Amino acid sequence: MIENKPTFRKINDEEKEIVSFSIMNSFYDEAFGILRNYAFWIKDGKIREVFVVPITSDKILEKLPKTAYFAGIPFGSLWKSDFQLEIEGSKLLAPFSKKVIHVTTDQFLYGKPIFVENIGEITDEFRKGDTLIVFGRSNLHYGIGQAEIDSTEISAAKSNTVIIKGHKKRPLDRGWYLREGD
Amino acid sequence: MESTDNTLDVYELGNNLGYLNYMIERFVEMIGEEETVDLLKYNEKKLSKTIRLNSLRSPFERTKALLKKKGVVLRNIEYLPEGIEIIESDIPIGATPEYLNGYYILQGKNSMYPSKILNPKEGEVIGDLTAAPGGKTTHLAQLMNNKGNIIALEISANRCRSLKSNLARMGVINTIVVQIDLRDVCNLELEFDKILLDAPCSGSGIIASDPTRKNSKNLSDINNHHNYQVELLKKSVKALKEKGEIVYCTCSLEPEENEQVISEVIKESNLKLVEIGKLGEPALEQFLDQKFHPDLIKARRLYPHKTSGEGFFIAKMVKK
Ligand SMILES: C[S@@+](CC[C@H](N)C(=O)[O-])C[C@H]1O[C@@H](n2cnc3c(N)ncnc32)[C@H](O)[C@@H]1O
Repeated sequence: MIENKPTFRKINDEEKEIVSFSIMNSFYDEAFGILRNYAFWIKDGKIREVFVVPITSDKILEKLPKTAYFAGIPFGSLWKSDFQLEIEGSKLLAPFSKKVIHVTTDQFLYGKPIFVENIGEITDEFRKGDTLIVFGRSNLHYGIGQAEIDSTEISAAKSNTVIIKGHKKRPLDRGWYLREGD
Repeated sequence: MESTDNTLDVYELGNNLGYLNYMIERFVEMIGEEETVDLLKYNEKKLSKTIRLNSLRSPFERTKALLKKKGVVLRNIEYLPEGIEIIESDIPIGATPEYLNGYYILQGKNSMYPSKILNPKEGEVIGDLTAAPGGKTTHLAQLMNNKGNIIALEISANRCRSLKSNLARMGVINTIVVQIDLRDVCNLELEFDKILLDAPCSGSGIIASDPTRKNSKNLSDINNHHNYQVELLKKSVKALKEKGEIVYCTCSLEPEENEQVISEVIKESNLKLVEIGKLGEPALEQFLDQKFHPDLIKARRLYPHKTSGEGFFIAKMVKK
């Protein structure tokens, strides 16, 4: 039996504003250019999951609001009035990111923090609280995180000072795919 | 090792290796004694790992170069440009940053064929009606360059999670997952250009990776699978457009789950088997007292010992 509870719906104006504002803070305007090829959808549940779905799939998804489980790219999640960009959202928008950090360790992929000693070179200045896209060796995308200190403090900081906290239970680093079990 | 001694009678060998006797009788009926010995021996081998490179995330050559840099020894697979055999690796191949970036997926060689045989095109609407964990869904998306639409159905909530994880990791964007029993597919009011039905089966083609199958299923289990598969195929056909194409496959070697399913369904529906090339060998024309539809020779059987991969049955049909 198909349940009657809708799970997928189009994003509303208020939610769209929250998401757009968050993107505007951390990415250049070109990010909105790429997002024009997608429609924003929300999956309601304990948390509101935000999906970006190619507009070519929109018509079909409109027929499946009660049964769809997943569609397009899992972009992030909405918590009250906060938007959290997640792994694949950060991958999609990475080319337009204002702030990127390169690490020399894979530890972040295990939900562990990034310490001062794990930084290759600082290419972008950042402030505490900024969203950073994390890249590892061979320029591989590792995920997304929030700066715990200003980049100007790094040279004077101890090697074990945390720059980005790890999040074992949230889909912010690519190691999530192993922790989730595939 | 005594258990794989050539001089042993095939039934003794089967018995020593832990097979139920009825399975050996059926293998002998299918491929003869000599080949059954080869099959049983093959099933004892440690299979080399194979991966499918994912062009949606990284060009094949770049991925190969990155893996080689890590000391992984690779071998190309003939006629499968996206398939690679891992000859040697000191690193866990299913946990590298490249894997986590979706540059490749662990996938058996022979399970790369069904999606290719379905041959999805960029603008089409494809139904992958038993989709989790998504090895074939992600392959279909790759073959479609992420264009068009895939509707991936999966009945199990748990398996939907691994499907979701694989789709996201592999950079698939053209897929909608629907958690539903495919027997309700018509309620979705969608019509598919092409359908892949990778049916749940008894798994007798993958004993090398799941030895419990040597003694975990009896004949009545196989018949239950048969009935379920017939039902799934009939419902799938209903959701297919006129002139649409459907690929039915299983990783079972049992004729009841393969030839007999197709025979029974094409008798009552407007499906026609089509040629799918020279892969493996033609499907069976008969088994024990069962005679199958004469067109079934267009379907193919892939035996593990002859193809160095998982056992598979693949049939492609068009809706008249
Ligand atoms: C052989 S596996 C599919 C493997 C998958 N195609 C791949 O390549 O990764 C069969 C799947 O069908 C699902 N299944 C079984 N009965 C189903 C039904 N009635 N409707 C939808 N899915 C079903 C099972 O849960 C299982 O995940």
